[in-house]
Amino acid sequence: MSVELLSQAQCQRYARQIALPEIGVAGQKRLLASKVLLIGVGGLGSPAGYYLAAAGIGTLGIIDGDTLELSNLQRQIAHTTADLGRPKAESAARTFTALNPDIRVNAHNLRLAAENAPGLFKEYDFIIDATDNFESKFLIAGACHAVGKPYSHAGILKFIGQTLTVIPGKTACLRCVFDELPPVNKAPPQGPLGAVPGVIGIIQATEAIKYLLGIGDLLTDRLLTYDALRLQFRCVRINRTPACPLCRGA
Amino acid sequence: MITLTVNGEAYRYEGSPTLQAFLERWSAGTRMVAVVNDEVIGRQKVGDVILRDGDRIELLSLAGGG
Repeated sequence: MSVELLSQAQCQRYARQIALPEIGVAGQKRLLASKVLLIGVGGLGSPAGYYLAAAGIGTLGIIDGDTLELSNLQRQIAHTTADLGRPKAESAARTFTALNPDIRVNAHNLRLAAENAPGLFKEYDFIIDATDNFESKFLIAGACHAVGKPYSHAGILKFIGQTLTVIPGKTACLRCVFDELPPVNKAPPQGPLGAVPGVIGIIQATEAIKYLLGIGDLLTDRLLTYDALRLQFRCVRINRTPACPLCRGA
Repeated sequence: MITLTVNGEAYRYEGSPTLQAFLERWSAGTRMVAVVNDEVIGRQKVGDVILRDGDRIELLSLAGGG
């Protein structure tokens, strides 16, 4: 999609960020021509999607195969009580489109799998892993590596969040840090406090925007952890690992 | 005694343990990834790494929620 000129409404809607020298009219056009895929519209994906939509990411893809349950609403703020029982992909698409009808939202009411991931990923410029399980996170890392798409990884546990941006082939990947799946935990889930994925999801959206615009320093080769109870942010330097089962440091 | 920086905080430690011995004492039973002086140490190598005075250790576990 090429955007020739911004409409008057677009100039007004995005005025504050267009006024940033790092963005400007050219950056806004670039965002409007960009495609971001959001995998999961739960605790992380809800805030990430809100800010990507508001910023005018021209095409926002949403993948989620779940339907909304009452216990989701404590943190999954893209949905409302009226959406209970509805597919989350559709409910989030409605929310984001209502916030910004200027963008196109592709809702995929399906579960991500090894078979469909590469084909879906190829259509987008940046992938946001906002899933809620280890297997999906490893699947996304693998598929992004296979098709060479940059992604933002994130995970949440209770009051802690972590996130890492990966440019496959150039920066340390998720599997450079975590080479194997953690042991299965059969205990019922505790948390998170809803605002914790809120903080991390917004960082993921910011990383996507920075990548698309080519501005600032990405959260690459360092894993950010956020501990809400202690109010601590820590960045752990991560080097690419030759023993990485996915990228082999290459 | 050596001083190790673990997750940003200084700890005094008896002797020069292997990373494996340190991990067993620090995070009994839980599986954490250790990053020593910015290098991720694979599980199969933790027995080979001898911790020295001044080493920086970051202990990470993968958070799966979203």
